[in-house]
Amino acid sequence: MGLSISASFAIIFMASIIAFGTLYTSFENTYNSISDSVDSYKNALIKRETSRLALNSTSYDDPGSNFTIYTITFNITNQGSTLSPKYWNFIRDGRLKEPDGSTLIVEDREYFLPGESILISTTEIKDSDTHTLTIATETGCSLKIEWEWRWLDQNQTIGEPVITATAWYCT
Amino acid sequence: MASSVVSELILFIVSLLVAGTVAGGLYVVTQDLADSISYKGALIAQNLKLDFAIINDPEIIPTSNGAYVFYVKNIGYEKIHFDTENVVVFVDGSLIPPSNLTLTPSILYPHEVGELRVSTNLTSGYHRIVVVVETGEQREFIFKVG
Repeated sequence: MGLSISASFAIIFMASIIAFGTLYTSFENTYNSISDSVDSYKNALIKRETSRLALNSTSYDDPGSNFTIYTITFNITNQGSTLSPKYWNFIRDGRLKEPDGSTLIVEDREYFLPGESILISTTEIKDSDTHTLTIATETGCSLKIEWEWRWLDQNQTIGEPVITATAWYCT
Repeated sequence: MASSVVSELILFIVSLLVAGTVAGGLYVVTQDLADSISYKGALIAQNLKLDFAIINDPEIIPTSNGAYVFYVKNIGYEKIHFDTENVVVFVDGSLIPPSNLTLTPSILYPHEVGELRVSTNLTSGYHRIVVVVETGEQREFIFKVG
């Protein structure tokens, strides 16, 4: 009788220890996994909340009244945390556009540190339409710039692009 | 005397069987619990790492073959299954049937941008699109047409 109780107790005790070990391992792995994810989530949230781009200045290159196109260059300043321009996307007049080195030129750089500036140039037609460039950063926040070409004389020989609006927003 | 030994033996075997059954049950239940914890934990972890944004210019939504084109960017750390089986789209609260959706590419890796084409008729004015991905994570985007 005594042997039966001891043997049974030993079996249940061993099973309990194995069960505890299994549960503990599972809890620990899950805790570590969720903890890592929470850290990633926090970092992403902080980066998103602290990212900010602003249009510092613009310049343009008008090849002359004989040409119907011009190039406008935006000087963008990083007023927030470090970003990676290689992960940015550009929306030109509503459509996704890859930098092609001619109609959309973006300075090639791996990181964009706080306080630094980056130049983005795009070519446009001298028309009366409002044009937009949206710079979507890796945080999901975007800088939108709106501009239009304005003639300065009645003969439409001299003109310049004018910034009509800028907006920084997160979706 | 002999019957006493036999009964002791039977009692011993039965107690071992009962203990074994209890231990087996404990093992099965524990394993099931551990698997569930791991599965749920992995799901929560994946959900926390998954993030996306609709990066369109809200004032100019391009169209292609009559479908509105939305750009969905993966801004998280996990890949997103980007197909009609895993993505659900609502426009102004109405579910868009999968046959009216075109999604490319089928998997969005971190930092990638995918195209979501929605074939629907929209009047001029403001509209709201809600995109829901496989984990239930959803993003809302308000845009203007016309």
